Amino acid sequence: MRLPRRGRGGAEEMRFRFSSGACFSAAALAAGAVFLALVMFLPPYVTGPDTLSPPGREHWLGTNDIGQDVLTGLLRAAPTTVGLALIIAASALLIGFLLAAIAAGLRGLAGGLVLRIADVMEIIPSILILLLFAAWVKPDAWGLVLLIALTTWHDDVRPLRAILLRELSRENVALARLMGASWPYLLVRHVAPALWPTLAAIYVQNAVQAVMRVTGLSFLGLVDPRLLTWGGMIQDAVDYLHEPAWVWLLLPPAFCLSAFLFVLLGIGRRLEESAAGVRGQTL
Amino acid sequence: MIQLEGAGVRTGETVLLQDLTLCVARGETLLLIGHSGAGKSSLARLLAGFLPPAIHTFSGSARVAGVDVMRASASEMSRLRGRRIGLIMQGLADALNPQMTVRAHIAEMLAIHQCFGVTPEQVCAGGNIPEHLLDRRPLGLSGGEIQRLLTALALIPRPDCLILDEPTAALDNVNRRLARDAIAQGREKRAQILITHDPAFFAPIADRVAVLDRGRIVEEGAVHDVLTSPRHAATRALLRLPKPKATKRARSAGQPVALNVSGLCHHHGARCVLHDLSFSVPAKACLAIRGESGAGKSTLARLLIGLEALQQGEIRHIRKASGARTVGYLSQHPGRSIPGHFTVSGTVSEAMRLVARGTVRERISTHEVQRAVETVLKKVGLSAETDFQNRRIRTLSGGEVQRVALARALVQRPRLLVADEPTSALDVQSQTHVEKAIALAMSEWGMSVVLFSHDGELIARMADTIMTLEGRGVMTEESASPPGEGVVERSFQELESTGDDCLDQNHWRD
Amino acid sequence: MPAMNPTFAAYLLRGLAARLVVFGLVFVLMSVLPRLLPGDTFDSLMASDLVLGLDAGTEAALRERMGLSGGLWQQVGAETFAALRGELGFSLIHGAPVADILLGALPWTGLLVMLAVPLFLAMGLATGIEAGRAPGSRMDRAITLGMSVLASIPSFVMAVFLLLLFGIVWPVLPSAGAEPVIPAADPLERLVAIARHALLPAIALSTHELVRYFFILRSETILVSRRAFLFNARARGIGGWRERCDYFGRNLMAVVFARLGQSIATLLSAALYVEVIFAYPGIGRLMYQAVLDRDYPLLRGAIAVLAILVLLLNWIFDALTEARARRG
Repeated sequence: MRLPRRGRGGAEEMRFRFSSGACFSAAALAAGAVFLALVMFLPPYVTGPDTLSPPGREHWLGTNDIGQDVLTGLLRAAPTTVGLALIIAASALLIGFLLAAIAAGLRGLAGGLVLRIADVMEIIPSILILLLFAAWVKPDAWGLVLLIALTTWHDDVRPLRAILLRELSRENVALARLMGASWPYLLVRHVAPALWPTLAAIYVQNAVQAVMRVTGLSFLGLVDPRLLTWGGMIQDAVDYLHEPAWVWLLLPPAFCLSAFLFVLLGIGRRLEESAAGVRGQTL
Repeated sequence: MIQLEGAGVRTGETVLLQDLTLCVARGETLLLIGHSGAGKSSLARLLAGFLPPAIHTFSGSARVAGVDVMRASASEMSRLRGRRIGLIMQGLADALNPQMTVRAHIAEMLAIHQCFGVTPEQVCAGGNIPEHLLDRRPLGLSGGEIQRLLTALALIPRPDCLILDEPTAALDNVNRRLARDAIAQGREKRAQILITHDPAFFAPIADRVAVLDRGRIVEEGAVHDVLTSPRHAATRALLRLPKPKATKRARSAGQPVALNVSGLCHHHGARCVLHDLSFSVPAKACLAIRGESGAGKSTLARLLIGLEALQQGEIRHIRKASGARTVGYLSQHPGRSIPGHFTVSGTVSEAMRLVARGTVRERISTHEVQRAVETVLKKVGLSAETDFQNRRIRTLSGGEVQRVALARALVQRPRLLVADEPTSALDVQSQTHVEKAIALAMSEWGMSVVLFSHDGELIARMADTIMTLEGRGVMTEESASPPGEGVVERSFQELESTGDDCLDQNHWRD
Repeated sequence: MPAMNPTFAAYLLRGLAARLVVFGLVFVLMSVLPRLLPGDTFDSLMASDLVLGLDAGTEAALRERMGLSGGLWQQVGAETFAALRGELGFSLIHGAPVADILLGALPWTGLLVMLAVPLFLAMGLATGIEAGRAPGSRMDRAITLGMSVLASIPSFVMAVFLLLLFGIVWPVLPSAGAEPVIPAADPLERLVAIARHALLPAIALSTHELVRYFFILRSETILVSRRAFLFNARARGIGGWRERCDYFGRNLMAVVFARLGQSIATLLSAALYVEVIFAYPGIGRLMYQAVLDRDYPLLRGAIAVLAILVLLLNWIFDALTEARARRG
């Protein structure tokens, strides 16, 4: 069933381009700048004499068991949690894309090997590998980037390989070759724009995974204790579930975490729909 | 029983049905004929209450078994369906639940319509279905068996009205007769609308014929009258050969040859696809190549334009003085040959720029490109306005994309156009535009066409010579049929001879 | 049981062989990796204040007993051979053989997973079909919104909230452990107690997969609802539960089976968090404890057993999917 599109197409087109491309990067940049400014002007996250004090004028969201201000912690944890997620997602996508290109380009041993490794990584729960490492070193920020990126890329390889193969073997590429187009021209004009929506969708999926894993590991206390994330704050709160303090210790970080994930998932679904729309039309 | 008064349906700005007035009483069978896209299936869906009111605008009234189907609630309609209104849609592929056996399908209908005391065996006997099929799943059933089962299922609740959409389109002769017998059974107790391409075949069991064209009923009358002395042009076109070509291009020996193929062989792995193929196409001529799916049509098309590497044999094209590319290509799947992110003008101008850079090694001025793009877009019946030129390909309909693809091919003024099933997936309007634009190019600069198709009507309208590709590249040649021969009938013979192969090609069409 | 098709048997064997190779790789990796990192089990034991000063001879003897003497490959080889004989080593912290500890913990994790799988499958099918059979309807929008909210709550946060709500704020269910400290003598009573203890963790475990299945099944339902047989069925007046079960449900089973194999890995990851939060004595909590205690033989054994389990289940689901696909 085809809905009437005539005359509405232009507007739809613009909306897609704004929502996915310009808007997204602008929002990301703005958020980054705000975070940086926040961290610079935030009061230090130090222990104080008022332990477990409920929210009040002094401490808007109360304090924790060693007198640290919850609101300050929340704001200071934001750039680490969000930033780590975005960096990990980008690293995983990069690894995944390079390996997908190998798997798509080299049909022989190397390509097969990449796919087999991706299969293995899919079967083995990544938490086992993370635990194995975490048992020996509590990773800091860069350790986390490396560890989680290395256990996330495998989800990206198959879809990226499929879409690369499809785009490269499409009729339009072959026809433009016949008309005399060069490979660089083809990659820039024909292949890359077709890949972009899928790449964006996969990036956001990676970011969701990364948030879950970073906060999960900090919740288990398996990362460098100096690394402040919302997951770690939730763990601090778990000890006070039997006291009234959970209201201000648990709810704020849990809400921040879920709100961030909600936004990410929403963007991800949008991007996926538009990527599927692009594929559906052109297949 | 079925009563339409000034009924109309629109979706957005597209008019599906317009001002229909029709009455089918109990015991009457009405044949509904019309070109594909004339609105036959829309009418069937309207009568069964399957057009969602959210995206459709209704006018007039349509009463089926006493219920106004345009205004009835969804739950009211679902109570009515099956019980009072039966609908058998066209298409036999995937028509039955693949997870349920024949017996389960029948038992389910018996249960929900409270037909106690009837066994599945009795239903089978009544519907001419062999009893040993009862415990099979639909996967192993033949087209005829599926059709008879669908009919038997629809008749279980003894509906007051039955609507059948192309019930025999994909069946062989024996099965068509069996299906017709099944449909004739008990027809005196219900009102029937039978949508068909073959009114003559159903004439014995029908009372009246109505002809649908572009959403309107243009002619209605007793079967015999309409079939023997049609009044409206659309009816005549349906029943007979479409208008004979005004000027048949003469094939004279003096014409230069645009394409010469000799000793062409091609293998996919160990499988031989084409074997020792030789033919030639004179300038300004159209060669139609028919063949079943899998006979190597697409491979041959790709070889002719150079998308597939030549393995053995020779393909020679006529060349322009400038040495520019002389072959245009029209794909069966236009969406695949143009990237969805390209704009309309970008698609056409890319071809111009790339070819110019490749052959005369120069850039053409923007103004020149702009003018050429506008001209060629108008030629294929598309808007040349800036708004449309800046639309992305993925926002266009299938018909529009194919016309952009044609514009891209024509802008290079090729000497030869290779068209692989160019209109099989298009709406009627786009089909006409594509055909017209190709014909114009043939007369304007003497373009030759190699047309791959199994659409008998299209071939009859376009081709000068017809060749049939039978597995492994054996070719038989015949000259185009002389005007006057019934194309409709011939295309049915083709359908019969291919039998169940047609199953895959039965798409859902609104 | 019909005779097995030889190509299908070959497919099964190939799958098994590939998974054995994978397991071998994981096992060797597990042995090699920790030894490449600075500090071994012995050092970490020495670093704790439990241990008094030891002389060089005793230390060497201890290292020898713990399989930490000799070159890297020698150690790895010895460990692998021991594992092949079924010896998973000895946990100094628990003072018991690793195999015994794992055998005690596995059933509890198994119980949670067995409870969670039918839970999320039933819920996922019901909500996915309901939302997907009428995409864009009010029902669909409501369910999808609810699932989107649920999707943005990580499994450990969900577990904490369930614990808080039903274990502490409104204490209707026990909040920790798998059964009371002193189990009831009456078997029926004991069973009820175990079920009550497992309920919250199982629900927490199922929510994450529920969301995933909902979105998969919703889009698959939309695909099924576009198929001709469904349209024909509706034209015959079939609706209600028949349409949902016989037409949607049965045609979605292939997708469900295909995805179950992938679910095992995520389920076991989630089980770790859930067991830690509910202090449930399963294998996940055991591993977590082993990491905190640096109980290396236990961690290695647990990972090995889990890997075998995951690979085995994955093989079975793969075979089921393939068998279904071959039936057509």
